[in-house]
Amino acid sequence: MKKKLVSLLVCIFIVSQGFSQLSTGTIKGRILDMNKNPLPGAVIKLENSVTGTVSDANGYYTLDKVPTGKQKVFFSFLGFQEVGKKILVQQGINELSDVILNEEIRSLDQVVITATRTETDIENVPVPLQIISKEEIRNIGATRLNEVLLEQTGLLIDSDHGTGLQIQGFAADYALILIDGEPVIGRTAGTLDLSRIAVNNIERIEIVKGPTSSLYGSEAMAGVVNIITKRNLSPFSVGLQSRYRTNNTLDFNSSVASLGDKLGVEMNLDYLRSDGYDLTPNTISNTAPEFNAYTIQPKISYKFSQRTNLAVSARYYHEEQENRQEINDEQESFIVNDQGLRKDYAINTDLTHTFNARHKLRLRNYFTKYETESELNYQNDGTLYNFNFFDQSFNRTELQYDAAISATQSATLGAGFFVEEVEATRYENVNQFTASYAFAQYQWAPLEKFNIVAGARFDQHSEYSSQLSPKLAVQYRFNEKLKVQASAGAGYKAPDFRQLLLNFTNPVVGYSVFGSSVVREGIRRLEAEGRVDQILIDPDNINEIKSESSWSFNLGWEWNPLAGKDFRIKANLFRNNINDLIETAPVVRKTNGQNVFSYFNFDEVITQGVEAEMHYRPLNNLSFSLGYQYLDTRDVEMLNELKNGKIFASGENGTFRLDRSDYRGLFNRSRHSGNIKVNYHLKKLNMDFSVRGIYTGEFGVADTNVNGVYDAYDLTADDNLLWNGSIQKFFRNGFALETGVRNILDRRNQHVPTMPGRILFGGFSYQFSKQ
Amino acid sequence: MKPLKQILLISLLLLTAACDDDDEPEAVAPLEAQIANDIPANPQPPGPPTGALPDYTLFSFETGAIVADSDSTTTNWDIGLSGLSIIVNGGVSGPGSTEAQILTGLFDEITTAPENGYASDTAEGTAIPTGSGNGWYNYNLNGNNVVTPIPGRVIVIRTNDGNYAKFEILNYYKGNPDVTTAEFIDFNTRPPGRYYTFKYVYQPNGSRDF
Repeated sequence: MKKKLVSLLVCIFIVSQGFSQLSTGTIKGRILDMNKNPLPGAVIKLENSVTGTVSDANGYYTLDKVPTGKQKVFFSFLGFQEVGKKILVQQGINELSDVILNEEIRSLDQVVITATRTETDIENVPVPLQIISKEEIRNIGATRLNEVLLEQTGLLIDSDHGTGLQIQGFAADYALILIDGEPVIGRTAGTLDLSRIAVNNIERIEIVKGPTSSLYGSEAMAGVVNIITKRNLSPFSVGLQSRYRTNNTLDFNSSVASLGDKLGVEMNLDYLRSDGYDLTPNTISNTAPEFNAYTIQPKISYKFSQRTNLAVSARYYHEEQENRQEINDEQESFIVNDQGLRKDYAINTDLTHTFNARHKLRLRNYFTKYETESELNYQNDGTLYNFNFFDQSFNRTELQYDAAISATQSATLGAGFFVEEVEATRYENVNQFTASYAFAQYQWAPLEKFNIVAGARFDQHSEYSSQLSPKLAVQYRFNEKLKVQASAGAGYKAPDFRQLLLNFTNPVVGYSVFGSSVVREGIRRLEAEGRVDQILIDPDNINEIKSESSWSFNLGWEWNPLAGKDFRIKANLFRNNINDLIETAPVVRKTNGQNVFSYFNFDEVITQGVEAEMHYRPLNNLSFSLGYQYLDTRDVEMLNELKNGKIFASGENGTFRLDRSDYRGLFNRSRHSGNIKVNYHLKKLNMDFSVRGIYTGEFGVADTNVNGVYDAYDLTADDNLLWNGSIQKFFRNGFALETGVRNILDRRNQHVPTMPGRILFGGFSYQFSKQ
Repeated sequence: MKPLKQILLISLLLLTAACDDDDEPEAVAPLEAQIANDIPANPQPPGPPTGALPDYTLFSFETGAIVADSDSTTTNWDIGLSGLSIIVNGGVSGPGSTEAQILTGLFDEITTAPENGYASDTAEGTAIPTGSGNGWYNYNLNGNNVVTPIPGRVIVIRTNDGNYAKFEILNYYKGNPDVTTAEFIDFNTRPPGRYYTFKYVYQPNGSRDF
């Protein structure tokens, strides 16, 4: 690429030379960084001319055929501030003194990390990206991540086994959640419960939509949510915050941080408790249980030198829940007390070394563990009814190398390996898996208006097929007002533990489910016990399970039509083709007439739609925004069956055939969703007012007619418009007061168990920073 | 509903009986669909399930009635029901030669029984497979432990006499209840299972036309 660029420039020289008959000179010199290291590949360009060259390996350059007289020469390199020099060019050789380029200092708001794994100017990120600032989190009055993400365009909160995140119509299984770039583990039935993550310690949240497996591997099929924790930049700071809400919900947060020349220490504590709530008073169990939760986040950083930095951060989360349940055991029913415990902890060690401004190495080790326990005791005598546990651990070591190749090119290379371990009630033994991976990414801006990001990652895992995930993204900026971006990429999601390891036999009905890693062994055991009636799929012919994979396309634009006004319209069209979705299928019929199921790749699903946002800030202290997403989802095979007249439903007048118009897509997906937000700052009183409306269209809840598709006759949840509002008052000494209402209209929906009725809240905060 | 169906059943029986004595070309009498209500399929007494199954309720499409257990070694019955499993009188299940197959379609649109594709019960499996999603029903699809017939599954059988019948299972619970109501979903108010209600047509004249 570099050679091409050079030859292109050479061509231009030759052409331009043909036209110029003026006398010329040659400019010679050297380019260095601020540490006096040579900068190879820097661009040297004449003002108002196409004449230019590139520095060699030692930073030397020679620019021939420069017209004599006054000239301005520009020196530039990616990540450095451009330098312009006026010189008087004479015939012959003009030796210039060394040019030193300083590293660019970009404002923190402008720099994002998640989309490329390197600090990149937000303007140059060619993929759909959403940033949630700490100010917005504060305006929302949120304590947990689900409350923040709920209010974002194109993000929907799923209420299946906790609060999960839907991006571009993917179920919660397909969104990767990171804290400072490291994955949060611990999913229940595919859902990573966002309410485990406290938001008080968040600087900003970056959300990349579309497949990002090319950088992050499994789970990054629908997108990535990266939570960037607060970075303390003052010598000493203290923060306190407390908030009280309906349902006897109390949140208390404190932070203290000190930053010296070498050593930085931070500590953040969060406590949240609630009585829970009940949307279905006629049932025994609460919709949301009573709970107590602590989050502790210490962080230590040490600067060995200007070039070498070590940061060790940890996170500990501990939650206890209490609820009651009614158990129906085929013929009898009884009440049990349900006690739940959830813990997760993580230690992240991050060593970065900057060789010079162009080469940076980052070595990280991340260890995390997730544990849950659930104990059910008979209410009448307190004896144990059932005990379940799930322990998962994950340790990853990763090396990443970032190189700035030239003024317009940079590369990122990385490799790592991880070990996962899982032990649970329904799995046998302690199961250990190992995996390794490597990734590469290349960023190139061949033109000022045009930039490309290309990358790929290869993952190898001990339990399932290897996966290659490439991605290409381009952006073209037509002018100040309009930019367009397009990307295509592959995503994948590895089979989860259940799909690999489950060893479960329903005690009442008698069917069994074996994960793909244990199915052969399970069938052999059944055979030895004489319990196999008929083999439907020969266990020796069962193929190794594959990851679910996707190809996705995003086409977006950002338009800002009114010069000098803060008015922006953003839109993104997306399409995701997902293959090899994992479903169960029978492999063996047992002598009791029931089947043994295992997991196989077969389904094919498409999600597509458009997301649009409009932001308008007519005044400095007043802003509006509107967001909307249209979503279309379909199961390809089911839709074909439907088109072929093979899908039926039953009603009062018997069974009838469904046609295409009866098809509603995938369950639990809202076709329409959107939001409206107004923020106002009253300068005189130093107060913020915020009102937000969040709309979620109707969605399918249950396949009541069991025909395998979501059709017009199935159970749907009604659409819903949720209004939230908050007021904040700031005082000069760092104090602030807040009050607000969530769900002002007191909407309740039994199919959205994570949405309580109206919630009132009030609180205060104090922030002190020594400058 | 019930008395009307019984009248229809009786009139059909009379009609077919009348035809039998008649040597003249048959008048094409349209076959009326019958409903068999609440055929008990080895319902369980309250308490933990015993797991012991093979106590099949035998049914004859020709008579539209339950056949006594004492006739289990005869060819008087066509199908046997016990819990979720359905056997046909043939192969490993009985002395007859009954065979069956499951079709996907609307009951009324299946006007001709297929010529081929029938299977009898073997040691490897029954002609009408059991298991959720394999044959005629889905179990626990919505997490409520409910057995629901898959809409559009019609079972066609060729009886011991070489006559054809088709039937569509409508319900697995006593009283043919609406299985989507909250009352049904609530385990405490749910009627007992293992009571089949099905719609059927029996063609007594040996032709494949229904």
